[in-house]
Amino acid sequence: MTDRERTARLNADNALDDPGALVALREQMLKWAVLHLGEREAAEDAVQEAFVGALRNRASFTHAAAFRTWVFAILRNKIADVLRARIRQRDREVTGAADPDEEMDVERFDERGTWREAHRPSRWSDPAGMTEDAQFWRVFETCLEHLSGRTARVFMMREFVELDIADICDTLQITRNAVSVTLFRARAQLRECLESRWFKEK
Amino acid sequence: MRRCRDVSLLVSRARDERLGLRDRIAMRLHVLMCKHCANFARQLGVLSRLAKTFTGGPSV
Repeated sequence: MTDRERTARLNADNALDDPGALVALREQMLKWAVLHLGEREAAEDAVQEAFVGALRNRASFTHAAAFRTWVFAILRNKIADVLRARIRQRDREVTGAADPDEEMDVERFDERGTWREAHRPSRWSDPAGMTEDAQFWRVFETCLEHLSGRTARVFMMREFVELDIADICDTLQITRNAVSVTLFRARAQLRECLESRWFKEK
Repeated sequence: MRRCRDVSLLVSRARDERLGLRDRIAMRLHVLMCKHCANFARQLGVLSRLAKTFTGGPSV
């Protein structure tokens, strides 16, 4: 890597590491994309794709202003792609088959994919202090017992025994994706249980 | 930006494996702006520490 490339990479990383600047830039891009695409969801996707594209080629720009120009240029192309795809879509009628993965967790998330009110993770107060409390550990055990046998097993293999995903796949003869989804469900259930039985009780 | 449903799964996966660039960016952007998912991410960290303490015995 040359010095020039190293500086470029540093600036790109800085741009990503400044949450304030990132949020502001994203807002500007979003406004612009909504203007062209007319709907927020497609605009948000295009903005995100633009960020991904820009960071893939982060050696190509040399300072923060260049990052901005670059990311907007990519956004312009993404928007053009979306508009072209819409025209193609209009030409053929598509019957969408439901993705089985999307059918899960309907209880936790609404149809837009955001947390349902009763399931929103809240801020836990003093999550360190409770480990001294015997009462807390009883609640923790109860919550563990509420997990189904298989879910609990995967969770314990990962979090108690600290096996990696590949080992869990081999041991249980299931796919990586099944392990990830099971771990997600175990964690989500456990945190819901602790939140309602401990953090909300206090 | 992806929905909470997708991002919370990414937040969980990130504890087990290294996510691709696309997923990492999607996750970071979303968590910066969504306090529920930010709380979710923080709580998963707490859960991991609890699991370690639990197996280490209650006196830890």
